[in-house]
Amino acid sequence: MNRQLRVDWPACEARPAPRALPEIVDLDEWGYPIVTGPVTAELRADAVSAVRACPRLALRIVE
Amino acid sequence: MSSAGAGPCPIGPAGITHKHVPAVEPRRNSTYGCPCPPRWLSNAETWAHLGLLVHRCVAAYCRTGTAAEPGTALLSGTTPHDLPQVHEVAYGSRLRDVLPRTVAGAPALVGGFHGSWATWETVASLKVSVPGMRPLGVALGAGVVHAPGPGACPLALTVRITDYLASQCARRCGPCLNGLPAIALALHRVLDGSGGQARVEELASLVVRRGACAHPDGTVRLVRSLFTALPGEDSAHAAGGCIATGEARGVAS
Ligand code: SF4
Ligand SMILES: [Zn+2]
Repeated sequence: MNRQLRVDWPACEARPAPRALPEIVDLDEWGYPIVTGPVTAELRADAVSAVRACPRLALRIVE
Repeated sequence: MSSAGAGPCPIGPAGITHKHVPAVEPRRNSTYGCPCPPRWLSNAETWAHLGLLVHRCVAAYCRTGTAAEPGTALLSGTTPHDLPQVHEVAYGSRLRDVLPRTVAGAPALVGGFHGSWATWETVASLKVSVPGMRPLGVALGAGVVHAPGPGACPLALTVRITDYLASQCARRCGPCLNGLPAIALALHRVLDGSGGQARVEELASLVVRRGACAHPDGTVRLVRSLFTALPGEDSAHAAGGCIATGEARGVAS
């Protein structure tokens, strides 16, 4: 089953770490991430890097 | 996914080290309890029903309402001209009966500020039911039915409600904090004819399901339902008129 990238909205402060994952993350007009697709097997490593890069610890990968 | 441990932040201020938290899915305390077992969250109306069940027994309670939905609900009917009225209505009865006859014919807002606009034809056809109304896009929600009545512009009222809802943002989630005032501004522009519905919808899609609570979702439901129940209201206002008040040109609110 594909995993999803989940944003913890109260924690997120629109700092641009998700630019690391352009395949499934866009930024809205205020700089907050828009998750556009699941974390496929190929994107798994990049998603883990994005989760680690988030300075607000606001990204998670959930089943 | 397991805990990522500690590591330097590649984009944060230099030298800062973050300790990462394990990736667990957030769960609702209302479902799982705090910490456990599950807790029952309730309101005064539910306690009143419990009292009736205990006093009158199940069979007597089930004499009102329908077989699928026994009992009654407390609904408020409000208009700009009458005192608000609270009705105890049996499930399955006509929703329109909570409103005075004077507002018949005009659209009504069903379910409160986070509710949905419905045409009078829809309101007049509805039977009070939680599972029955939801699929029709007019959920009972907070149990408030507001009818501005003939001659009032639902768009103008929606603008005022959206201004209020934007001011009630808890300021915790970015899309809601930025998006609700932007939606309110875009709605003001539709009202005065200087902007279109497309911008409202663009913002709505940036707000919906992107918060920790359902405040943005409810606000989007209100705004989208207006344009569903009153298609063409935006172009009418762009032309200086208003469908709901029947004005072709001139003052639109
Ligand atoms: S990296 Fe973290 S804080 Fe920045 S936009 Fe993404 S989720 Fe929000
Ligand atoms: Zn109007």
